[in-house]
Amino acid sequence: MKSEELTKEEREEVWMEFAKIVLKRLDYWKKHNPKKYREFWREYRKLEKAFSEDLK
Amino acid sequence: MDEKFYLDTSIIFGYFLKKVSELKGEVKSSKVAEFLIESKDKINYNVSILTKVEIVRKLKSEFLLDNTLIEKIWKSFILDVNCTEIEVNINVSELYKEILRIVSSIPIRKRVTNLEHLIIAKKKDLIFVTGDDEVLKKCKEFYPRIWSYKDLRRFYSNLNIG
Repeated sequence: MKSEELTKEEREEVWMEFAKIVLKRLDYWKKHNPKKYREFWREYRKLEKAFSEDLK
Repeated sequence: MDEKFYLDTSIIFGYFLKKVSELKGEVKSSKVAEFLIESKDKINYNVSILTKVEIVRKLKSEFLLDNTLIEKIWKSFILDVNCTEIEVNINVSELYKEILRIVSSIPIRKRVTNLEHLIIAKKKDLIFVTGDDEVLKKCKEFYPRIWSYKDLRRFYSNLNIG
């Protein structure tokens, strides 16, 4: 599959499909593997913080 | 656009989670994704086959995605961020001799994957952008062109001022 084959709308659909699967997986972790669930969001928050902090 | 940047895997996975956070509603928006999209026309981003390997492994093993969707996700990222997939024509023996030199000189606690990324960036003369504190603190004597996410943001901010 060439990159050119995916339009912006198709990419948006890809991300939505991905997001739904990830959310389902996160729900599973929340119930059955809370350590993994917390670790996942901790990593994400750490990354978001690095992109939110004051540059000074 | 003189400087070229090689992105680590964490930042890319952070981008992948933009829709997840939006759907979940807990996080208003993804700062990582916003930054990469906003800066893509002014900053030259690069990734390699090693980056793809790490992403595919994570998507397959942790999220159980099928290969068709994984390929679409990868392609979507490349297009969204206008990223270049660089060819890695590095001799394997040469690659690991460099890594051996690093791990023999300084104690590195983490796995060597980020050092593999570092050597790829070095061989391609790209600035390695990473969130790995150990690489940032210890490896600049082997390759000075290692930047934190904050360094990248500062660079972009100055581009907009200048």
